[in-house]
Amino acid sequence: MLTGPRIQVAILGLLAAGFAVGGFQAGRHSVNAAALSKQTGETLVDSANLSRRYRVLAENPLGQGSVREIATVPFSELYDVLRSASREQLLAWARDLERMPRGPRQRAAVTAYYKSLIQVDHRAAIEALFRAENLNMRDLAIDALLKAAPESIWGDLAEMMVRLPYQGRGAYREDVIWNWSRVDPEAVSKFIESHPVNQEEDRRLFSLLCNWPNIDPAAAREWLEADPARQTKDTFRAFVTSWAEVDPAAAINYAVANATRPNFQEAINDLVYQFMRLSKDDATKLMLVLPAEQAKAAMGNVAHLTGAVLVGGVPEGYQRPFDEVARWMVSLPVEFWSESIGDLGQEWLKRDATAATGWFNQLSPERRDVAIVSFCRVAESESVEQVMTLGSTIKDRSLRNKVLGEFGRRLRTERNEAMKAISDLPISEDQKAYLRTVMPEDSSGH
Amino acid sequence: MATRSRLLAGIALLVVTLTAFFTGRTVEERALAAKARGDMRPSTSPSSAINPGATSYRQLAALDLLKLPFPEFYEALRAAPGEARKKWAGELETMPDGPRRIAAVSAFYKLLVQFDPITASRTISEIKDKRLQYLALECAVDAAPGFAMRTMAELCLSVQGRSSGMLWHVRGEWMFIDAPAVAQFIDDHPDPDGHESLLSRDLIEELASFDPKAAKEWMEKRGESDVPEYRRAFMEGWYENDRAAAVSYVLGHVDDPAMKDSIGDMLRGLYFDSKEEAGKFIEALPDDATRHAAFKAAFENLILGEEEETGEPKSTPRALGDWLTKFPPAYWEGMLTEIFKWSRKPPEAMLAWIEQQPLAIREAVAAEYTPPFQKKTADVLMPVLQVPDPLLRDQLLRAFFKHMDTVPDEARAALATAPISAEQKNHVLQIIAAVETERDQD
Repeated sequence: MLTGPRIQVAILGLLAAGFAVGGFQAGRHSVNAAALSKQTGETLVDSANLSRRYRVLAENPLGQGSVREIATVPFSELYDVLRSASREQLLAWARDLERMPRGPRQRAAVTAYYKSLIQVDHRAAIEALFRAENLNMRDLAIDALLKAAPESIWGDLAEMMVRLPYQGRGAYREDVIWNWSRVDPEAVSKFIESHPVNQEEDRRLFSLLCNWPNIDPAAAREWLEADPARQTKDTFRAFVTSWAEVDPAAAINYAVANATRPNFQEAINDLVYQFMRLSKDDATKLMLVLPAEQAKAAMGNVAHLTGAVLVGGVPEGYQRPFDEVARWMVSLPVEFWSESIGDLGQEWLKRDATAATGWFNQLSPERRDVAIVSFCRVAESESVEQVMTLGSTIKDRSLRNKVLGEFGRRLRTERNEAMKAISDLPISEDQKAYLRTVMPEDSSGH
Repeated sequence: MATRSRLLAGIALLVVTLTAFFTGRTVEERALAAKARGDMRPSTSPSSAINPGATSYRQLAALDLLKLPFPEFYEALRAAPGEARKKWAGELETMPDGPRRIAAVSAFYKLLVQFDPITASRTISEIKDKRLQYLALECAVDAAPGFAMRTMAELCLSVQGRSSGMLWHVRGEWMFIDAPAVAQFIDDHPDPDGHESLLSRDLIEELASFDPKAAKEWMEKRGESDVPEYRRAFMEGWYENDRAAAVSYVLGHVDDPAMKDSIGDMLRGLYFDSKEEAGKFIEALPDDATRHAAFKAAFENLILGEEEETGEPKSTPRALGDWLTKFPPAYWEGMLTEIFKWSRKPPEAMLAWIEQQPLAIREAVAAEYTPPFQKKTADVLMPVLQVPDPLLRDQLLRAFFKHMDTVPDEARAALATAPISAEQKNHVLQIIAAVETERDQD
């Protein structure tokens, strides 16, 4: 009986249950409570050593020096200390930090203090700034607290920024508006209306319109259209490019409908460039419906930005590779790019002559001539070798003579000076003689 | 067959036992961890008054969490284990795009990074929506405490690559509080393309202000000791660390062409820290040409502003003018032009200041008078025409026309409507003509 299959299964079940209970209990007892406690402590507050620092801070709230170690206190501890401190204590700590010797320790302490305080008691943080005497530290504190500010207090911070003395110190006002408008642009618009600034151009509008159309384009548009004073080059730029991120078709329609409006060309330029980077089909659509002048200007901007040396604050991928841009440009009707492809070509030839020459050479003969003519018309004297090499391959002979003659003529204001300047060019004597022969009388080509 | 069955049964029992063992271990660890967290909260904290049941992470979705008042939001986030934080992060990612999501993600990461930068970093790196990831990264980087900067820099590097603007931003912030750590980070993550030059300049300055010896060694290790821009940065940092030593070094190497900019930097620093020491420094320079070059390097590009705008009494055009003119004109010749140009006070204020100058230097001061920037010619010309002393007035008018940004035609137009006699107008026109002749000759 005991060896029957049912009995065996029952015994096995009982054994399994017993082992499960035993294993569970053994597992629980195997944990080293002290070690775990320490490990958890380290995760949360970075060791008992830091807890001592916390106690120093908590027990000696107004003690000179204790708050100066604040940069080494983890937020968990700092939060509790700051929450338990009175307003006067918080302000006293701020004053103490101001009086630290200047240097990295002071910067670290001030930054840590305000990044934490703004989350725990933003009114105390604001009051501390109003009482600040060391203005360099005040600037640092503003920078720090704006970076860690909870989203619900942007209005208070914006109010603070317009009331703080010494408005000429920094540009943080726009930072507040930028951040606030990402979460509540309508409130920002009302704030701007009720807090006008005495400046030629109010940069806060730009910050607002970089974000509002992304959230509520109709409201943003209505607000922008309601007051001509708001319709600057920068606000139009911000408005259309932000709108295009969420509704490219609507942004295109708006841009076309307003293309000839004052202050609007830069918006078109930015929009075309943005589409060219992110959505070439939309860029093409827009180019084909824009008035010719505006389209050509936008294309010129694309060519210029592609080859420009841009320093600082440029987002990754803002500039696209030459071949990608050139390919897109020549996919459009010739009249759009005939004047601007030369700008791009010149920069490309400077940086990668082989690739650029290869690109010129793979164009159809007609397009190749247009592109090379465009290049020769903008080329500077330092590109003379490429001008002579590529220019001499222009198929239309009279056009070739004209273009290369104009290149030589542009070397100097006076024709006889330009003739002399040809002698100094690093090209063959035959080429120099040719340039002199085809040089027109005046720089306009006559 | 029976042996095989026994073997299988034994394996099954072993699996059950091991599973039970590790389950028990995990349960115990969590219980102890929760207890430890509770124990570590200081008794003085008002947060202990918050009912933990009300903010238990188990009951909350991410959106509920973000609706809580900040103290409860904080407590919930702090009490939650890593999985709960990750779960909330995941919920944020699934929210519809818009301001609510921006607000939620910003609030979540700004707080999380402050007390658990590792989890913040891990969850950000796992966000699939690139725009959302950028937002979370931006918030975390901005709010990160000093000790989490390395984690943030590594996150930027892994998520956005070396050319990421955010990586530059983190390192830029970080070096102001812990330059040696940034230097170590750069050593640990060498840039094969050498795009660190701009960063290096600032970093060397910060390193030197922290520890000049370490900065020098770092420059030597990287073969940057002889790069003039870096040497200049080093001197600026050294000045912050040990003013006397840096000033003494510069004075001992005045003839070194690489010190030219540093002489100006020292003078500017001293002007703001101690005008007395600045005076001694300028007099310790070997000759007037060096002193003039020092003034030029120190103050030519200094941004000036009125005290009521900037709160900086030493940066006003008037304060700098007062200090410069304490020295012989040979030291500061050509330097006052910028001061007049950037004055935002009514033109009468600077003209009165010139009138008060001792006669010995008044002509030299007047010769540098320049109309204030971005003011209409008519508005700034009239006060000059009203200066009572005819000699000084003519000196000022000559300087005025000489330093005007625009052509004197604008001055002629302004003069035409000025309420002065025809004779006076003719006299001023003669001055304009003389200035034009001088310009043509130049």
